[in-house]
Amino acid sequence: MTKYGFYFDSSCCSGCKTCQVACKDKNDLTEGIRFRRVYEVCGSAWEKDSKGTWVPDIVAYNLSVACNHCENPSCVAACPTKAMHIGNDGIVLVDPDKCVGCRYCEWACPYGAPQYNPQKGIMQKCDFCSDYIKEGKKPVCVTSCLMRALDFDTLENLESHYGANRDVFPLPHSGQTGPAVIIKAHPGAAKAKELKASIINREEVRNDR
Amino acid sequence: MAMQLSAGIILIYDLFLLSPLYRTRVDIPARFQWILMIALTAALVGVAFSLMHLGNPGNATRTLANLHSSWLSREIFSVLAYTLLLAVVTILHFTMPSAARSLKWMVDFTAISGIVLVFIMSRIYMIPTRPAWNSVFTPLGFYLAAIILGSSLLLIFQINHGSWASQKLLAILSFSIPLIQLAILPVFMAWLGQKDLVSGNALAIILDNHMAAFYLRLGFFILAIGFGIWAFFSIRSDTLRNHLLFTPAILAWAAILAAQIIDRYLFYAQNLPAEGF
Repeated sequence: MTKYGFYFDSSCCSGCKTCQVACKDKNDLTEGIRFRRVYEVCGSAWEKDSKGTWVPDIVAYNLSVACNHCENPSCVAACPTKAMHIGNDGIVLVDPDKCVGCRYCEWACPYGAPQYNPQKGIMQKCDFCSDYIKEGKKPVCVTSCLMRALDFDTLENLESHYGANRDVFPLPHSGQTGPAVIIKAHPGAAKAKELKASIINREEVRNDR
Repeated sequence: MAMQLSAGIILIYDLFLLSPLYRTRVDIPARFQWILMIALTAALVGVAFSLMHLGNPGNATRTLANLHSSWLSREIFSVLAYTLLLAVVTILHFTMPSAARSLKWMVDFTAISGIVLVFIMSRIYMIPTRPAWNSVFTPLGFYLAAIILGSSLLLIFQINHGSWASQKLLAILSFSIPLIQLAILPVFMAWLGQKDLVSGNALAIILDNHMAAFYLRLGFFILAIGFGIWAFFSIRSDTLRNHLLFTPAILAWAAILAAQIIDRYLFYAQNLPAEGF
């Protein structure tokens, strides 16, 4: 079975959010629903240099996160109706005819991927732009990225091009769910935890509907 | 919380009122039928509220499809099983009061299914993505809430009719459980504060944004303890003086209910996702 995945280069993402907007446009998403979200991670501290001067040490980078179509998706395990399921090609999908809108998948997903649509009373999420894939195209977030920070392919191809790293602060450890995403971390990410970095645009990205 | 009230009523009813304290009586007293009716009503209210928070209740029948891995699916199954059992027990108590005592095994079974239900309800919240909920404090809190809501309500039903011993037992529960809840609170807060960043943020949210509710809950806990102790010392072996129990028992139940409602509000206020996602 072909397993698709995203690649995200955090070191060159400018945080323009074009991917987020393109996704909303393509999927005709109403206010508050974001299949892809750009998280701004920021942290700082003061440190003493060799001359004894206190200088600021700052880290700031962006993370563009959508559904990672995990190998062991916690949303699928949590869904009481089996509306959330893994499709034939490994894509995690919501069956709108089965979804009861309990939002338990939203709690269970460590990436906040499932989004509640109050108008329809059901959950919705990224499906890798399945219709585009069938036409041989890449998902709209990938093709719209100005910095070419996003890519899409089979996981096998992505790993051969970009390596196999799936972890970056503050994403949950990839061992939890096996996300189908390859990440090139921002150089500053290595000391983000030490600098107590955190997501600074929570109000913007949270799904509070 | 309605489900916990219901499960608590049945558990306390089964443990304390159907057992040796009433061994001398042949029939189930009429008020016990109404105790069961209240428990059933609370369970039905719980079911109705569960349906109301669904975005698409039309698909509710599908929620039993994932018993294999979904705690929510298991909860819905347990709710249905418990409510069905309770309905049968209640109907039997109303239609065959003289035979009801011989059907105690059914009440036992319903009480056990209530205990299982409360555990499954708490398990729904114990997920890695919600660090503030993911601990033994969640089932502990749910069980204590069920016991205190049930015992304080049954104390009211025991006024004028209940035995001295059962009144004493229920009054002790009415002040000792809030006392335990009050004692656990600083332990829970200390645990939240040191567990991880997200749990620390959950604690900060309570202390920064919900301070009034936090103090109100403390106040109601203390009131519940006070009224419970007052109720305990108002119990007389002389049944003609049972009316002395009425005021403190009612006040204790009201304070306990208020404390549990605020407690649940604060519980949901700690709904912070791990890592901010």
